[in-house]
Amino acid sequence: MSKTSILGFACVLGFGCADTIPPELVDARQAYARAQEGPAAKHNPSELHTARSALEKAETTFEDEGDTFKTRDRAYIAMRKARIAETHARTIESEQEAAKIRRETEQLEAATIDQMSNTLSSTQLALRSQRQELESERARREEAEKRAEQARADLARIAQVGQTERGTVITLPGGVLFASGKSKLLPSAQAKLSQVAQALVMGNPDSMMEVEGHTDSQGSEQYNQKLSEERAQAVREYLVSHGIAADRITAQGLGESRAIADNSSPEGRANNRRVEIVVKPPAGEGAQGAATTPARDTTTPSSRTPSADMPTPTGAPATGTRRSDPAAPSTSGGSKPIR
Amino acid sequence: MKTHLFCGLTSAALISACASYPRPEENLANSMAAARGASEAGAAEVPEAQLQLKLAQEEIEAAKKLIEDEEYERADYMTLRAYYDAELALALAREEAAKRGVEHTARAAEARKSQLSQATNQD
Repeated sequence: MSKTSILGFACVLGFGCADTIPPELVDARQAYARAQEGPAAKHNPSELHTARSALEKAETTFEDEGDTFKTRDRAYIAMRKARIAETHARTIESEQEAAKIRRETEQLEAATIDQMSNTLSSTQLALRSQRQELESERARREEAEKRAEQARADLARIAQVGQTERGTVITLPGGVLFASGKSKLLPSAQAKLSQVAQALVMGNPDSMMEVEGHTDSQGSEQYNQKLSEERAQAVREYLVSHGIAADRITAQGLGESRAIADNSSPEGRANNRRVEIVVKPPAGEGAQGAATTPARDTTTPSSRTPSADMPTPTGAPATGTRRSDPAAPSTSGGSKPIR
Repeated sequence: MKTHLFCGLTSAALISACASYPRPEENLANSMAAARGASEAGAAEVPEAQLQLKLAQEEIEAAKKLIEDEEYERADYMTLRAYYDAELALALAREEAAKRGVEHTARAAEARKSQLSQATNQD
């Protein structure tokens, strides 16, 4: 029932028409109107309904009795009920707001945890694969070193191996390789030489090598020069046909010019009759790895051609790969390899 | 003298014709309990709630006096006024608490948010 119709009705019946509306009832009507427009309709409509009933009761009382204490009390109570409904609604809104904020925070926490856990996972993965890579690199290096070591040991078993400032020198007695005065390899020598070839391929695949033939002082210098040259070539050919790269190995005869023993005794002469294979150290590494200057080319026979493929730089293992590293000879030998 | 028994059996519509009215002990007790509840909820600290609570307490005293004077019907209505004033005081006190709660939650959420963003930025 609207406000005007209630008054109209009361006036027609002659009840309370003469009375002015008590302020409590005015306040109650205002309070209810305000509550109705607010959030109570949404959050606590039952309380709003209670307030409405109270207002209607007050209106009825005013209509029946006019301005009595009962009308005023009922209007007073109706006003409070409307205000209570309104206040509760606002409280509910605040609580819902707080709950929403808490939910948002929780969602943010969850998202952050997800994000961090993903980052952690991918970091762990990256770390693991890095470690694996390092491990396999280490294993490769170890393997290569082991092979090189094995080769050195093998070589030491079959031939005399020494270190000089020229590099590693493998000395093969002439009597084992050739018949007297001949430059054709003995059949028995071939087995030994193939072992030497194998050891060299395994241990020093990238190194430059020089085969040098030597004789004793018996016979003319010319004759000895020619014989030593032929013998050196024979050994070289054999090694090349057994895996040594042709552009890595040269041969020359030195005749009787480099005696290592006294030619006046048979033992001395026997020692002088030899073939030496000099394995030059990689560029940048002196004998025993001490020097910092590049490998010295003291005797440069015309047969040696400068190769674009340089030996592996200092610090890198003698692996099976042949690398083009133009930086190696021109820079100082102490430069670190690019990782 | 007022006859209580007769009034207890009549319907509300005839109450104006009735000479007696029951002593509003229960309603008085309810209104006092409501006032206590509002007080304990901290109504005294919230200005508007404090006003309502004061009204309730005055009305309770007025109701007691009316009971002494055997004005039971008036006393009854007075207790009801007191009860709803106290209830409003309580509602206002709770509203204030909820408002402060939101502010606190919002502040805590902001702090946590910046904490979390710092943590992720460190990665």
